[in-house]
Amino acid sequence: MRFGSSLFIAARTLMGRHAQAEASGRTGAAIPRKGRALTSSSGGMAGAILGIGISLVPLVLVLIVSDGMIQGITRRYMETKTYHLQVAVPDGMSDIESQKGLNAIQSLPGVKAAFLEKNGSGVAVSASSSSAVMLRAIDPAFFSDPGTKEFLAVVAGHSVPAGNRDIIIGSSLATALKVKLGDSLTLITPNPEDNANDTAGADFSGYSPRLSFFKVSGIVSAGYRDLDALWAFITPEMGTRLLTYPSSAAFLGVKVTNPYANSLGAVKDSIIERLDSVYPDWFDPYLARTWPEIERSLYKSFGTTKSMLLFIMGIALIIAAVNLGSALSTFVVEHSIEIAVLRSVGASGLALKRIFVGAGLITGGIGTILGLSLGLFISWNINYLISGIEWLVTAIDVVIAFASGHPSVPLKLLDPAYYLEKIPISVDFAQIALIATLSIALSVVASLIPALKASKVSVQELIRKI
Amino acid sequence: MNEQVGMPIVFCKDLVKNFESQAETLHVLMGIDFELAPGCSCSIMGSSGSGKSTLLSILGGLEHFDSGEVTVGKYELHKLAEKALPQFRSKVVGFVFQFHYLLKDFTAIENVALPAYMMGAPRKEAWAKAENLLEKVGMSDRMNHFPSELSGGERQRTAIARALINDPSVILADEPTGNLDTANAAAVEELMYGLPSLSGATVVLATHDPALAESADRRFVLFNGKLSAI
Repeated sequence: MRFGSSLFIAARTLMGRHAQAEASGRTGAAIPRKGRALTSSSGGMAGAILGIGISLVPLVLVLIVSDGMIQGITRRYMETKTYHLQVAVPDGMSDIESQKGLNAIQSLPGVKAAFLEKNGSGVAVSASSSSAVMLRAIDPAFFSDPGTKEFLAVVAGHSVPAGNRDIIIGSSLATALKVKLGDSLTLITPNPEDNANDTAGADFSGYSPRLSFFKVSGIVSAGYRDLDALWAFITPEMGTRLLTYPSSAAFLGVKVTNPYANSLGAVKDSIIERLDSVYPDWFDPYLARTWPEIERSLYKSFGTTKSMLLFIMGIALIIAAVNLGSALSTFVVEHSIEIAVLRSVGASGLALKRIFVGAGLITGGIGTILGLSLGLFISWNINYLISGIEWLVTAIDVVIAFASGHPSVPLKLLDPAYYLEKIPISVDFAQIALIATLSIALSVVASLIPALKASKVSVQELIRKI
Repeated sequence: MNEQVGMPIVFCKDLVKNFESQAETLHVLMGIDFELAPGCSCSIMGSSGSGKSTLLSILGGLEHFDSGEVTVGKYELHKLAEKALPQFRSKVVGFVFQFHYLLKDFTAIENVALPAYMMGAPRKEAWAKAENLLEKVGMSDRMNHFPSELSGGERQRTAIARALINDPSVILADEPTGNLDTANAAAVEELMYGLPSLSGATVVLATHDPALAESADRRFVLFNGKLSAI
C-alpha cells in the first residue's frame, strides 16, 4: 500500500464527512444529503489540531520576540557602549602609537570602523547636586558613526564635545544633577600625580582629587536609564589629562559589518594577527575580546532566560502531542469497524500503521501551520498589540479614576527609560522551520502508539464485532 | 487469478474449528469436507449459531482453524503465514457482509475503489474500475453519494461492487439480504447469483433463508458442525 493512499484514507476519515448516524441507515431508507457533521472522534481530532496550534503560538512568540528584544538590547549596548570588539591598549600610549593600531585594523575585511576610547570614573558636581559618572573620551568620529547615531539620541544641544571645556551628559544624569544645556559642571577625578596642573589651579599630591570645570554642551540618551544616568563624554585631549592610570582604561573599540555572524571570531583573529605585528613588544591575544565576551554575564542571562522560556513552551508542545496521541487512540477505538473492513479487503498491519501515522502527520501538520501562522501574525504585530492593551487599560483606568475622583495613571508596558520603547521583531526562518519540523515529528511520534494499536488488534477480534 | 483447469477453487478437508471458553469448548465445525469448482454458486444454509459465518471467515482468511486443510485458489490456508493473509484477502476473496460496512466517510465510488487503490493501483485506474463496477450493479447515478445518503439496497449493491474490485476468485457473502426489505433482497439475490457470469467468481453464500439458498448451483446445510449437500 502506497503512502499516498494511506494519506487519502487518513485525511478523509479525519474529515468525518458522514452526516447521519449509521444506525439510521440500517432501516434501508434513503436519507437526504445533509451538511458536514463532526463525529466525537473528529471533534477530538479538531481539539488535538487546536492543541498543537495553540501550543506553538507562545513558542513562536517567545522565539521571535525574545530574539528581537535581545538583539535590540545588545545592539544598543554594542553601538553605544561595548562596541562589537574591544582591544585593550596600554595606558599612556601616545596618539601616534594608537593611530598605528587603528589604521592597521580599519582596513581589515569585516571591520567597519575603529575608535580609541579612554574611560574612567569621577564625580560630577552641579550647583545643587552631585553624582558618580563614567567619563568617556572618544574619537569624535564615534559620534557620527551610523550605529552610534541610531541609538544615541540627542536630547538637547550637541552630541559631540567640541571644545575641551564642553561636556555631553546622559539625560538621566542631567535630571539627577538638575542641570540643563549651558549650565556649569565640576568634575572630580583622581589625580595620581604629585604636581597635577589643571585650570582649576588645584595642586594635590598622591591620589588627591582633581577639579575640572565644564559647560554642559549637550544632553544625550542611549535609551536605558542605567546608561543615561552614568555617562559623560569629554574630548580625547581632556581624557588624556583627566583619565590616568590606574583609575582609567584605554582600548580600541571596533565595529564590524555583522556583529551577530559567526564570522565575528574570524574578524577577532585577523585583528589579533595584525596588531601582533604592529605592537610586537606588548600585544597579547587575550587583550582582544568580542561583545559576548565583554558582557558575558548579561548575554548569558538573556540566553538562559530565553532557553528556559523555550523549554517551558516546548513542554506545552509535548503535552499537545500527547493529547494528539490520546485523541488518535480514541479515534482508533471509534473506527475499529472501519479497521476491520479495511483488513477484510486486504489492508495489512503496515498499511493500517501508515494510515494512522498519516492521520498524525495531517493533524500535526495542520496544527503546525495554524500555530505558526498565528504566532507569526501576533509576533509581527506585537507592538500594536501592546499599544492596544495599554490604550484599553488606560481608558478603563481613566473611567475608574473619573468615577472615584483619583488621578489616572497611564499604563506603559514598554517604558523606554528602563527597557525598550518598542520590541524589534527578528524572524529567524531557520528556527521557525526547525520548530515546524519538531512539531510535526512529535505528532508523528505521538501517533505511533495508536497506529501500533490499530495494527495489533486481531482480525478475528475485529470481525466478531461485525 | 489463473486457476488450473479442473482444479477446485475452494477445497476443504476435515476442517475443524472449536471455540474455547472458560466454561466449555464449543465444537463449531467438526470435519468439514467440500470443494467448489470455479465460477459456480453455492449456498450454505443453517440456523443462527450453526457456524456459517465462521466457515466463511475461515475461507476468507479472517479466522484461524484448529485442524484440517483449506485451499482457496492457489493459497493453502493451513500453511499460509499470518503476514501473507492480507495479500490473500485482497487478491483471492471478496466479502459481502450482512450489514454493508461501507466506510461512512467515503462516497460509494471511493468505497469501491479503495481496496484497489490500497493495493497499489493508480488512483485514476482504481476509480475508473470502481465506476464501471458501480454501473454494473446499477449504481451509476449514486456513486458520489455517501453511505448515509443511500438506501439499504444501494449500500449492499455498493458493498458487492467493492467485493469485486480486485477481481477475486471467490465472493464470500454472509447473509447479504439479511437487512433488506423484500424488493431490495430480491434485487441483491439476483445480483449475487449473477456474479459468476458477471465476473467469473465463485459465490459462497451463507443464509438461513431457504428461498435465497434455492437458486444456488450447489446447496449445503450446516448442522451440528457437519456440512451436508442437499
